[in-house]
Amino acid sequence: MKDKISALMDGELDSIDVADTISQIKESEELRNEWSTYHLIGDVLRQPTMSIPDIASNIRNELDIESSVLAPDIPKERKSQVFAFAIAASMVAAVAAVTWMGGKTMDLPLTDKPSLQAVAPTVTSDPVLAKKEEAKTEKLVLHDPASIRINDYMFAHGEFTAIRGVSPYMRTVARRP
Amino acid sequence: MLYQQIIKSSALILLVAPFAGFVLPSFAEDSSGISTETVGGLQSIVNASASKEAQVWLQRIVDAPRKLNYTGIFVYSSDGHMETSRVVHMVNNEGEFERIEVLDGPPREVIRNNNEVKRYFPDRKTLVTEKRGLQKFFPALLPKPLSNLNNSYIVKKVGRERISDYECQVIVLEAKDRMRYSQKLWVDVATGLLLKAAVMERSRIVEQFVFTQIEIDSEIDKELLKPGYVTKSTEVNVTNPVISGTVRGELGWEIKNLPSGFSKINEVRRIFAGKTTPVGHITLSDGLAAVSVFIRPFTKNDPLGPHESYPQQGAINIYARTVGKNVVTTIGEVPRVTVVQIGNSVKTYKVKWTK
Repeated sequence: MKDKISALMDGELDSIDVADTISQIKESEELRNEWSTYHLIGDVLRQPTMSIPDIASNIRNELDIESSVLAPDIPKERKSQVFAFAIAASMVAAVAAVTWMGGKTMDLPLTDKPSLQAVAPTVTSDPVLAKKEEAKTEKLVLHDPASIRINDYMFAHGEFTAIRGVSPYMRTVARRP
Repeated sequence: MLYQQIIKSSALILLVAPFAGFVLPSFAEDSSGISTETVGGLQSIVNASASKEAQVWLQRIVDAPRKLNYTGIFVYSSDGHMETSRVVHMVNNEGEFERIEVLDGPPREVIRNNNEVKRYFPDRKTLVTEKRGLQKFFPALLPKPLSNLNNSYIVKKVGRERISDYECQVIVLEAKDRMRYSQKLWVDVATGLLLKAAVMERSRIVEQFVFTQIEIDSEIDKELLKPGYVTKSTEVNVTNPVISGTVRGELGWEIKNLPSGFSKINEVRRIFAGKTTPVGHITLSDGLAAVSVFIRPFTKNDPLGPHESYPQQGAINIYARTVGKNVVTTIGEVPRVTVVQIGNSVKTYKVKWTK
């Protein structure tokens, strides 16, 4: 599995395994940690001016910039957030279906049907493979209703903002990159 | 393979070590945070009259849109992302009417006629109609904004600045702890309209909106309030959401260990479009920032694990977790640590999921 995560990060995993690997990462905290750690290592290695003493101070500087957290269980949350962002950043082309992460939930149509449009087209000439691919993709896309729900929730919540500025719908309208 | 090999080497220790160092300063800042709060308490007594005056300005902000016509262009920015919109706002004896058009990226529009809000997404061929039930049917349930503000914020007037050629009073609501954001507001001196607002986490701007051009108290051509987009019968029309009634205290959920300053203001059951199962909705507020907790039964299609994180969207943080056979989603314009603490404090005793 670790080989697959590594390959996924390097964009060397074949398209069938991608979906499978992502769902496994999602289900296992251990794999999510693995994923985060690999990214951290990758990021450090890619820094052109890298030298060993700098790693510590660089990371410390980054942490200083970040806001401190108070609740004791935050480190766990922090990791999963890193995971969410890492996925969003590195997988855009391969899996547009990862919209359940919330990054693009603001203006999804509010239907409960999984939207297959959200899936990046996959190119395969083998009909058997194609079918398998489709099945896996569909499974991933089932996450869409969750983001639709979040959309509903955001809107319902909007009614309670005390100072609404120019309009209570300012945030509802906004679209995120 | 490369990553695995590195993990096995001592490099891992170098990577982990800084995190250990991070814990200590964080606790040190913790204790200084408490002392700031005490000082803040004293300050708010000393500045009680200044704060009271600032609160009058806040009330003007809340009241202004209910009385004023205006048209203008505003820019909303967050996360390094920027978006320009045009707003037309009209008040007459029939109520409040508003149209917002997003001018950047794919066209989107919001049209509001009092409590009915239509959202148009032409590129997705979608029209969403929503009725804001609470305001009309349960006015008493709406939070009294700005009450108990002094428990959580230092409210102060900080001088005047010019925005879009209007002289504005600047009001700062400085958070007393890290469980909420600070806000800086620029209020038109003549009308009380909010012309600029920034949500801040200490000195960092989390999200901001500002009018770059505005005409206040102008005559409004009603044509400007009509949608620029015509719905076709083939397009998706959704009506959403509907409130099913109030069940104050009957949901069977409680939230213990609330962050200081927050209290429960409301508890209702909602039914969203296309759903039959009601969703519990508990709202908390510190007088300025609101946090909503949504509780619904777990379904077999649920993607959620025990915890689920969502990226921050402007000032909004979202945190979901499962409690028993339910999914608890916490949403609010507060720092992440706050939605997590509230989300983790939601406890159930008995829940009846009847309509």
